[in-house]
This record gives sequence, structure tokens and C-alpha cells, in this order.
Amino acid sequence: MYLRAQNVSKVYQEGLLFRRRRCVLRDVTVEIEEGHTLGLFGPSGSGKTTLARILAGLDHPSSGAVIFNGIDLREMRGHVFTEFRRSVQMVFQDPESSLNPIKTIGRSLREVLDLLRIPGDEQAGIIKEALEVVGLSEEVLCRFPRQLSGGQNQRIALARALLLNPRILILDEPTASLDVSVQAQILNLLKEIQRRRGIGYLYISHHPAVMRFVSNSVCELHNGMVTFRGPVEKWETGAEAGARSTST
Amino acid sequence: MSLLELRGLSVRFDTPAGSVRAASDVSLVLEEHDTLAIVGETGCGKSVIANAILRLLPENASVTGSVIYRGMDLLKMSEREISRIRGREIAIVFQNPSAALNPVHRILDQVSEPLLIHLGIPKRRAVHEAEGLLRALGLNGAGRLYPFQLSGGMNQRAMIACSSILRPKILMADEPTKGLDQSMVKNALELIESVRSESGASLIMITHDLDVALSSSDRIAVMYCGEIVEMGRTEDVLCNPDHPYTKALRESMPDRGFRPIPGNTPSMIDPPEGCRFHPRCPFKMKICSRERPSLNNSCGRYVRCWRCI
Repeated sequence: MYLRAQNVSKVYQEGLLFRRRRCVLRDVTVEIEEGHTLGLFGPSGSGKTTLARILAGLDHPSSGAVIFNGIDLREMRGHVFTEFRRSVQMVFQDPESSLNPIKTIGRSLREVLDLLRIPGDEQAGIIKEALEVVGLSEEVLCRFPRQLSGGQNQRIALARALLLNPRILILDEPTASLDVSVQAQILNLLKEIQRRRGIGYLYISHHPAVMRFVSNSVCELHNGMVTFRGPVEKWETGAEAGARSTST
Repeated sequence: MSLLELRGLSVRFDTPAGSVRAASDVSLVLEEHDTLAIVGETGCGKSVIANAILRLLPENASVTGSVIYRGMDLLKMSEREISRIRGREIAIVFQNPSAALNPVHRILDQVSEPLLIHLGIPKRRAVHEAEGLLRALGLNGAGRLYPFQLSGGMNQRAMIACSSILRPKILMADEPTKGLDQSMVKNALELIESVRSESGASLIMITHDLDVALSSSDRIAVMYCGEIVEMGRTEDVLCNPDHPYTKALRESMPDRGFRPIPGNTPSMIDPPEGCRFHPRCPFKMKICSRERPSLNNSCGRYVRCWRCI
């Protein structure tokens, strides 16, 4: 299975009478494969998150196409689209705001299983298993997101995405708001899950060291354009890249 | 006499779930022109200490111990007296500047406001002075704008301008680099350093980023679960850590290959008996789970560990 963005461009228009056009992505082609991690690197404002949202089907490209297993996203209907939505999951940057604050963790997780029409008596077992994968105990189920730490919430967000048994996971700076020690835990956990389940990752970060640690290949974006694409071993820019683009 | 001294500062929050011991028995000294970093993971009580110094904590907090600033105990002062210290003598740069600035006032008004309130100088002179400071911080022309019209980095500069315009003796920066790009982190640190050295203030840098601590401080205090576990010269502590927690924190840094600390941070309502790090410590001994170690001093290096006694 693969997910590909083919010559994708995205233009935002501002203003009603005097239209100002802002091009955030220009002719970008990337491909995520199962079992591999593609790192998406670039300074803030370079279009990383926009590309991720387009790949996850949350936003539409102005031109170009998103292709999942040979089928264009725009042509998907009915159960094919549902299948795509299940297979491609996204984990967001801020874990606290991606969980519903007035629902307990248990409720948030069961909701996903209800959508999958899994009977109530089987749900407890599945949830227990999902929590084990991300290294949490069952006592978190009766708590609310605000009662958990950032790292624990991010694990819950990850567990929730994994419940659907996705083949591709889009991770938008999942450790940006976490401490160094918790970041290390989450990164190792992600690698372990990938080793066991063979999920493909698109990992977004502006941290070169994180990029080198998680990815097999790297795609570097600057002002919406791809400036590097290839295996991580050949990727050199890294450290200076962030500084360069903001100073100019 | 030292500029600022915390003696046995403890902060407890009473919540329906129990009392949260956010900081216990924190003692440290800040000299003039000194730069001190307080590092630790989220929820270890770093920001609580900064807010306790200026008495900005919510009402359900009970604070014990003493905070001595130039011979005066800030915790025993009346509200009127402490408000003359806040901003004028000790100022704080809050984390998340976009939320800390007032959204309905222009930047220039917010930066000049401390001059009007604390020094009572005429509005025109205050505005003129504020414009000068904004120019020096590279925000020329931004004074007429509102916070939402500026980027995160620019709001950060405006926040630093608000805190430093009265030339305080102590500047506290609470996670000033959180959520910024790597290049912007460098800018923010350079800016804080230039403001500090220009006014000769002392700095308390609160951060979870060890690189930031290394490049911005002479001394460092490492906190875990509300306690200081290690304190000393920044280079000595970070390059040659003695406490197992500091060692583990170093190992989880990117340049050491992201080796995580086993286990999770304990609950602050019911922290572990004995040494608070013992459930996660690879070097634990029998005594660690029974008795709480004290902060031992050897040649200016403080370590709270049974193995270092």
C-alpha cells in the first residue's frame, strides 16, 4: 500500500474584492510506503502541515492529485473512501487539543470502536490491548485529558489512531510540545510499533536530529518547494537549514 | 548579602483529588549579575517557583518557607508592597507571549504602561522611551500594531520589552523558547542576554531544554518532582552529572541517541517514599526507598542522592 501526493500545489486566496494569492505548496510529489518512514523537514511556514492535511484528505489541493493504492482521492466514493479514511490516520501536534476535553479517555476510545460497529462486550479487550501497545495502564480510562500529562495524552492520541489498524500514519510534530525525555520515549515507541505492524509513517519535524533518528528517507520543504528528496544518509542540510530560511 | 534567597520554599495546592505538592523544600541563592537556569520536565514545579517568588499563584496555593529579596521577605509583604516589587525589581517573561499580551491594546501602549504606573512619568515621555526600546529590540514600527498582527517571535520580543523596560534587578524567563523554531530559539536567547547584560540584571531561566540552559546560564538547578536534585555550575552539572536523574536526562538528548528514562513521572499528590526518583533509578539501593536523601554540598556542587554521600 502507498499514499502519494502527485504534483500537488495549494493556493490560498485572501480578500474579497482585491484577491491576494498566496502559494503554500508548489508542485510537490512525495510517496509514503508501508513499513517505511518518510521524514518531512522544513522551517515553520514552509507548508509541511498543509501537505500533511492534503495527504490525510482533510484539505483539497488546488492542483495535482492524492493517490491511495492507485485510486485518486477525488474519485473515491462510499466504502472505498471509508476504507481510505481508516487506513490513513493523523496524529496532531498538540495532544491536549486533539482529545475532547469533556469526555473521559475511555469514552474517547470507545467512540472509535462504536463507529467500527464493534459490539460492546468485545471493546474492553481491544482497548486494553491498545493501551498495552502504547505503554499505559487501564487506570487512565476514567480520567479526563486535562488530568493526564502531555506525554500520556500523546500516547492516547496514538492509541486512538492505532485502534483503526491504519496502514499509513501521518505524524505532525508529535513531540514538539513534549519534554526531551518524553520525546525519547515516544520516538522509541513509534519505532517499535512500526517494527511490529509494518505501518508507514510520514513524520513531520523541524528538528534535524529527530529526523535522522526516525526516518528512512527525507523530503525537505522550503517555501512550499521540495529542495531535497532522498535517503536520510545523503541528507546534509539539516542543522543550518532552519536558520537559513528565516534569515532571508 | 545575596540578591535573592529561597529558604525551604514549599508550595502545596489543595484540590478535590488531594493536595498536590508542587514544590518541596526548595532552597537556592541568586547573586547579583548571576544567571541561574532551572531545568526539569513538565510539572516538576519550575514555573510554580517563579510564580511563588512574585506571589502570582492562585488562591488554593499554600506557600511556606521564605523568599528573601535584599533582606526583605516577599512572602510576608502586604499586597501594596509586593506590587512595587513586581515588574520594577523582579520581572517575569511569561511563557506563550501571544496569550500573555493583552489582545485589545496596541504593543506600544502595553510596553509603556509600566512606566506610567510604576514611575508616574508623563505619557509622551513614556511612549517615547518605549519606542526607543522597541527599536533596540528590532520591532521598529510594530508599536502601532496589536498582538494578533505579529508573529510568535515578534510577540516574544514585545513581551521581553514589557518586562525589561523598568530595568528590573532580576529577570525571570519562563520557558521563553517553547514552541519556537531552532533559529528563533537562538534569537530569543541572544535578545534576553543583551537585555540582561545591558541593564546588569540577574537572570533566572526556566526551561526544559538542556541546550538552552547550557548556552544561557552560569549555574543550574535540576528539578525532579518538586525537589532540586542537583545544583552547581552549568557545565559541570550537564557535562559531568552526578545525580542519576540528570544522567538519564542527558541520555535522552538527541546527541546521545534518544535513550528514554524508564517509567513515568510519579503523581505529585502521592509522591514515592524515600528518594522520589528511586522507582525509575538504575542505581537504586535499599535505603533509597526508605529514607529521603538531603541535598548535600561538596565544593559548591549540591546533589540529592544516597550514592553521593
